[in-house]
Amino acid sequence: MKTLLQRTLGPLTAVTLALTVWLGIWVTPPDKVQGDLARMLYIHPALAWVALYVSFGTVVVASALYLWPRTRSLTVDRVAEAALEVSIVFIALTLITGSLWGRPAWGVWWVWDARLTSTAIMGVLELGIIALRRANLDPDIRARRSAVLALVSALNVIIIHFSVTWWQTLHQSASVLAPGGKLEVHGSMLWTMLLSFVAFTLLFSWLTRERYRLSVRRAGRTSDVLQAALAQRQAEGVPR
Amino acid sequence: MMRVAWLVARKDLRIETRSRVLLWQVLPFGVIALILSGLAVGPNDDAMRHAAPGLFYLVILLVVLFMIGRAQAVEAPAGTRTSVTMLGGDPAGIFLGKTLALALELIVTAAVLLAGVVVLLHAPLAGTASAIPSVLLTLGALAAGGTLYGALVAGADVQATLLPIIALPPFAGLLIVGEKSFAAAVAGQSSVKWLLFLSVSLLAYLAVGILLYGVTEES
Amino acid sequence: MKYVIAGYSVTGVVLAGYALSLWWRSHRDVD
Repeated sequence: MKTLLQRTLGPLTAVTLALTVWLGIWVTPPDKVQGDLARMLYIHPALAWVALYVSFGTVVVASALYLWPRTRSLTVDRVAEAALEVSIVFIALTLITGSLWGRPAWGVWWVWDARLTSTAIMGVLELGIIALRRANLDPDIRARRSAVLALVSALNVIIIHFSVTWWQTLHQSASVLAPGGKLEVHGSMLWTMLLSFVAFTLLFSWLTRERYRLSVRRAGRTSDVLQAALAQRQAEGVPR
Repeated sequence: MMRVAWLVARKDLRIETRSRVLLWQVLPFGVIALILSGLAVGPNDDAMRHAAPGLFYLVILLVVLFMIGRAQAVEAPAGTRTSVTMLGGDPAGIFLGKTLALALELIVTAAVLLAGVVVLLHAPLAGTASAIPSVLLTLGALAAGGTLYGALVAGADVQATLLPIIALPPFAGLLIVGEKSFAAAVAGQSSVKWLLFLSVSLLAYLAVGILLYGVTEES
Repeated sequence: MKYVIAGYSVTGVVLAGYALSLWWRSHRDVD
């Protein structure tokens, strides 16, 4: 039984995204200080929000649920796997859009700004979890270990965040502001930005759902292949 | 739990002293890595001295990877891993024991590397000595985290390449804080904030390891 | 402005590409 949200998730996502882009590029005014560059406001913060909190949060919660015996299930493991993959995509986009936003402002493509650096390390942490998921292990053990690694990574994200913040402030490089730091956001800019948050969160949900379905389909296919092979072997079998 | 920990630590350390991998392979590697660091950064004296804390920890991270691989490898033959758990070995105790053994081996290595940093990279002796508390805490956190990550990759056929990918990103945070507290000690500044942070990190890793180490294995 | 266009474009291409890859992977026989 599909709920209304499940049925409309795809179209809703498409509509909100299209609306965001239209508003962001054509309708909203350029900023007083940053001019048109400020239009990054309608994609970068939302991407970062989804990457750092929504998707990774989903991975962490799903992992915790897998480790708790009462809620352990294949479904939960697949949700973790799906959210993880989508998470990587969003983190990569966060870094790319952050870099594109910063380049005109800083003159370079990358600075060891606390936020960028923490995000980059978090991306690599997630790559590590994906690497572990590809290891040739018993499925349940692999699921458990990935879940453990996800939880430890959550702890690490906190450690990394504080350590990089202190590292950066002590380092006293040219006082670097996050690109959106000095923006005054109000009126249509604010609404569009909020809409972008909704749009990208919906997109995350849709992509994760599709990726989850891919896992289910794969598993079904594997057992189909297995069944077919068994049936063939039986047909060839010599009666004893 | 503590009794199991003690037994496991003694077992690991005994294996280490018999095989002497630490002495003949890990330490020489550490020294070579330090020399390479000096070559990469020097010969400008100021550059080397400035980079010394960071380079020290960079080499330590590489050394830890070797040692973790080793700590898990000694479990592999004759199904030692399964037998310990089957005999009712408390996983938390195993975790603590392996962490302790790894930490001690790291401390020995660090002592040699610190001497190397003073001699080769011209880090000031007094400053380096005052960095020792922060170094100990950082090594403890590395040992705890390292033991946990080692368990996560154990038994996978791509173990050797998987471990660095999993362990190095988290260690980056410890690298940063370790380096900063070392540098602060050398400069004679107060490092209370760093020590506090390191202590909290160490406790967090220990807690997570105690809680989750067993999960990685049971079926 | 070109940075903005680049940002929106890259985002769109990557996300669309990822969605397409999901579709493609679900129709392959071997993974």
